[in-house]
Amino acid sequence: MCRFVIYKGTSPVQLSHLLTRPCHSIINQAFDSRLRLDHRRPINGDGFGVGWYDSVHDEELGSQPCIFTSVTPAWNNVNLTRLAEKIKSPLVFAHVRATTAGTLSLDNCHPWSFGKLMWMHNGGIAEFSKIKRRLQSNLPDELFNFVTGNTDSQWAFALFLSKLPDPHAKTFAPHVLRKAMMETIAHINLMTDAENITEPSLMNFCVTDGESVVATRYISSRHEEAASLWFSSGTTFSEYAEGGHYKMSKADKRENIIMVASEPLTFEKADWMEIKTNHMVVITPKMNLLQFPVVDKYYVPPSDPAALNRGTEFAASKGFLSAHRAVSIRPPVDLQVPETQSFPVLVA
Amino acid sequence: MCVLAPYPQPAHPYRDRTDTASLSRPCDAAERPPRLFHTLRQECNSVLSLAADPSHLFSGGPTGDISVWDKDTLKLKATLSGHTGSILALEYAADKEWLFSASGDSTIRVWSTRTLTPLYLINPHGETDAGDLFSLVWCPVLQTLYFGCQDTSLQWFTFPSALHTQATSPSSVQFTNDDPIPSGRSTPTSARRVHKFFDSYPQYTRRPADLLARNPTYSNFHASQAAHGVSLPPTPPSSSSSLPSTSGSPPRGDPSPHRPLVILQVEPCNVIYSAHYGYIYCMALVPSVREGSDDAPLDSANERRDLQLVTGSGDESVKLWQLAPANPTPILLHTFECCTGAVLAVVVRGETVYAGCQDGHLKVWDLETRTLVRVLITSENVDILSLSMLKSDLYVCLANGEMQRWSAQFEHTASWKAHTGIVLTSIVTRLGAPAAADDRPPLDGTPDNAKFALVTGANDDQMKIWEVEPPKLRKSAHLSLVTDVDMEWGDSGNETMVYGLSKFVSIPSVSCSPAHREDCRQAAIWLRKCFTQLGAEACLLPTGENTNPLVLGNFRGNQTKRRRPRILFYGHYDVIAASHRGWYSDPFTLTGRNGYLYGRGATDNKGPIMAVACAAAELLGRRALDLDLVMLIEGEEEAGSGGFVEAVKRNKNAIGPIDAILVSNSTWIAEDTPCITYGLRGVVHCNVQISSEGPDRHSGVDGGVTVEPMFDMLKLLGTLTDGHNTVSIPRFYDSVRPCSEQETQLYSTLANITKTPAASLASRWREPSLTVHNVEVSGPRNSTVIPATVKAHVSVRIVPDQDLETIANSLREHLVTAFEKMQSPNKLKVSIEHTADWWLGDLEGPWFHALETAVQSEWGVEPLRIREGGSIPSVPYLEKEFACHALHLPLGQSSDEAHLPNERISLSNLRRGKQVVERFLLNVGKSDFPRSPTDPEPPSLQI
Repeated sequence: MCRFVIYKGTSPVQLSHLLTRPCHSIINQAFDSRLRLDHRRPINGDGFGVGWYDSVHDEELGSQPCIFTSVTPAWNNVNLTRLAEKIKSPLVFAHVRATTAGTLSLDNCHPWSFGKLMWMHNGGIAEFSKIKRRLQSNLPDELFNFVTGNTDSQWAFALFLSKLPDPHAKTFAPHVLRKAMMETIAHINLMTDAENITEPSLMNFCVTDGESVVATRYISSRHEEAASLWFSSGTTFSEYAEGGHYKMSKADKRENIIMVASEPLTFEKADWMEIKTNHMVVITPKMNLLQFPVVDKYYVPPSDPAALNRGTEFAASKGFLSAHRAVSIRPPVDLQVPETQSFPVLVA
Repeated sequence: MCVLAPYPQPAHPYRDRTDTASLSRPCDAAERPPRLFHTLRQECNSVLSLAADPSHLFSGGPTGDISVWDKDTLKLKATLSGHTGSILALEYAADKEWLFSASGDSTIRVWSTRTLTPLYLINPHGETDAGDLFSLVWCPVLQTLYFGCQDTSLQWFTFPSALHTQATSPSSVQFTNDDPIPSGRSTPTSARRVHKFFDSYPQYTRRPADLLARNPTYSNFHASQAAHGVSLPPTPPSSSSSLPSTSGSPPRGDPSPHRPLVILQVEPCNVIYSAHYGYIYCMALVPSVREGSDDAPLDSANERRDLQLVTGSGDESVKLWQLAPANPTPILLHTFECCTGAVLAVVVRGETVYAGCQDGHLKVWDLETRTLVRVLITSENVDILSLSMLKSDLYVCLANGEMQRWSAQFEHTASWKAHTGIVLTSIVTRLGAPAAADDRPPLDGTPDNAKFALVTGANDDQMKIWEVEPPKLRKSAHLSLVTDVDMEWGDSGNETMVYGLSKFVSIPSVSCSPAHREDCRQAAIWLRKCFTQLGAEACLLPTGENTNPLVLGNFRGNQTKRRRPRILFYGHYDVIAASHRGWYSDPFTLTGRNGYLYGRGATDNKGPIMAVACAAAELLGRRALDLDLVMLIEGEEEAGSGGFVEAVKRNKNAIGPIDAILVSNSTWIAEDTPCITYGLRGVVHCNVQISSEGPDRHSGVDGGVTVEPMFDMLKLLGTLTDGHNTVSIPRFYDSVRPCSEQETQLYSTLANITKTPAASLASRWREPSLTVHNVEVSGPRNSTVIPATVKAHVSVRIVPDQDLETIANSLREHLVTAFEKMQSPNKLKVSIEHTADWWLGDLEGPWFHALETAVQSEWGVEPLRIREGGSIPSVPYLEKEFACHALHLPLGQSSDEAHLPNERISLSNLRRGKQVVERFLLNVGKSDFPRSPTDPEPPSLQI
């Protein structure tokens, strides 16, 4: 179970605004995850990765993303802090990992890339070992040999690539990525069904070609809630007070910044929208965020009261709360508000 | 009547008109960019949304405050505070004197524009899950507020009648469960639910989320700043006064502690999830209720169509929703795919939706036929952020600070740099009298004090007020008949007919000119409405991407036990182009002179259409219409009837079974004797091309070296006739029907009346003919150049019982064989372009007799039975398609000058023509003719 964040903007963002500075940044989520379904260990300390595309296209460098991964915890990586201060990018994937499958190795750190495409995953395919051989047999040699790690996430990426008409293509229309993503999920469901796997799979997948982004919030269950996924969009994302207090502002109808994240990066309720379970979001090259329901046998329309009552029991039953985990890191900075004052809150 | 000219008119006959209309438009006052009247500026506050009531302008920005500006003094009068997110949309409800504001804080607030105080707070379903609320529309008929959300849902809130009677004292409203909290804050804290994330504690604390979690937020920050007295936001010491003050510092419209806010909640059933896939950026009501619109208000509109809603979204589509009477739930009718980025703005006028998209594409859709009418490229790669309409003028706001104005004919009439930043929003509103200090003379030519202003808001912190005028109405839009004193106008029915005709003629529906495409569509819309007003059920039928729609109208007769006869009237609303040259009055202003009505289309074919429609309306009014009259009016007749056949086949069910066809698309043979046309010739149009397949050559250099294509062409064309007007194509005359005794008799009678030799009539009407229309050459037509390619256009008029296909084939074969005999090295190409079959009416049938009787009883003379040398392809086609006979009743006189300058129709002919049609419809309705499908006898047509 992991945490991730995606940034796409009309202008490049300094990685630190995304990764290190906001008070509930992905680095802080690494140790203070509020929404993780798996409560076994609330810490995403099994490595991290960040991938980004160049701000300015350079013929020599090519259009593929650059990826930096590490097996050390994100909050303790001085290289990450240093890189984040000096790199700007219009499209960023960042991921902190808490292993559910696969060993702790660089090969298993998200995101992965293939040509222009970049992929990451939050969740897990249930009893993956049972379908692994079946999945592999569907892949052409090139994609079979491309997988270097041993996680369900990377094999799912290979499966996704096999769904594309040409994974080496120079550009991918948003609907091509969307269709391949739908087919990937459908194919995984087909394989788990064939093995009579009843446990739901959590499939929050993200893919980008540097222009469009497709991300899913999906669970193969009608009754359970999928792993969390949020988005925020606006014109500027700026620090209104020192200490990582960021706010999204809207000075235009159009979006200059779109962020998709496992957990909101700030506590500004109005800035963050929850993506509904079993929905897919697509960010188009023209910065439009589209939300498509993934309509299959696990889809419950939002108008159905059952949609509001998806449970988190599944996740709870999977793990358990660690009784006394000593947390020696500092808590998130709280503002010094006198306890007695009943302070106003946002409009609910 | 169209004498079937298949080619686009060669010498741009309509050029003269457009010379002054679009190509070198005179820069008169109406075409200059609007004058800047005033600028309103607020520091650090980009203007995201605008609204206006009769005395205020309201502007919303990213801070969440709404500024209220006085329209007279143009000063900031008050600030409405309460929202905690950007004000993304504002809407004024005139019937309530309410202002609605939609915000990025996921709430809508309702303010009284009279007291400038808050009345209600509306929470969308799902509260903040709905996200930013981008668009708002108030529907006064349904008392419903529609809004579009970031979560792609479309939601609505209907105000129960109990509410609006007590609008001024909302605290007395009882229907909400939320007890208003009489605190200084507008939002009762108890109403908020605990949120799993935003009210959570770090997991290591293992505390469940609660309202005291107090995670760091912007509003906490400001509260703490305020508590510590650090950088106090500019709040006046007293927030109790929300009324306009006379002092310089505007008071804030904070809700007073004594006026608690009523919280309204959108019901779960008032939500359409995934109404779009993207954010719902914009919406509009059809008909438009916005200020500056010339759409008829719904309650007074005599229209069959009712209320609709249009929404535009980031998913690159516009959706059309039906709002049924008394049911506010929108029902999806249609999705228009724009395919050019997000639809950021929509505006509606009549049947037309304008959708402003990213990258500067403005898509124009017709709501009724649901076809794409136009794509206007306002500015390549510059997003369109807002659209406003003043009557037929469209104002476009662009992201580069530019404004554009487009006319109803899609002409770009003005463009000006309005702002240094992004123009985010705009409205059209009536402006009061200018302030006394302003010494500017008042705008002239605007009666009833209706001065309009275009207000634009941008992210350069400025709002600009531009003086705009409604587009100048066409002179002819008013009934401007120049009548003779002694010209008497008949009963009201005739007046309706002439008035309608003047309106109809004023629309220059020239089908051969792309510049008039929109006029053609407007003519179709006008005609559809005209039929509706006359009592028919009418609709438009699309004919294809690039052709004008059909107008289908059905005058339903009295309900009787037996099946009513069904007559189809075929006509066309398009006209031939007209320049001012040669006309004594404006061709598109119906002008009465010496008993004639002059104007393009008066006789061909708008006058007859109005006569027939008004005849049906009159009978309908007298409950005397005992048949169905189906009006099928096309818009491409003068341009070759493109798409007509396909559209008729596609809509055969809508047209229904037909028992007889009536056409009125030609004139009498002379001035005084009424006629009935019973025959038309057919036509085969053929293109011949001879080419050397090399370049053009210099005759001084290459003359005599090659076999010149021109010589081949002259020789080849020479083989077509024998030099005595006899066509040399083998077997050409074989099936021409011999002239009967009776027919010869008829021609000599007609020869006496028309003072034309009988032989001449016979050759025009019943003999085939061949014409070489032109010979064109490649190259510069210089006298030293040998053209490499020569083209000729040949046509053959065919008569009963020549077979269309046989004649076309033998023409082609003859040309090919003759060319082969010449053994020329050049290449020949022959192509048959357009064909139309001949037509001969059934003179013995009951339908013809009914028509003849009608003419005779109206005019007191027996009508002449005449034929025409020209062709109307649709007549034989419709006969075959509906397996029934056609009747052709000319109304005008031979001097009507169809297609020529000073086209006209005699007022008396028009009025009595209408009477003839009335009599004919009465005759048919009373009698019991054999009808299809019971009619076993197929029409006497050789196909």
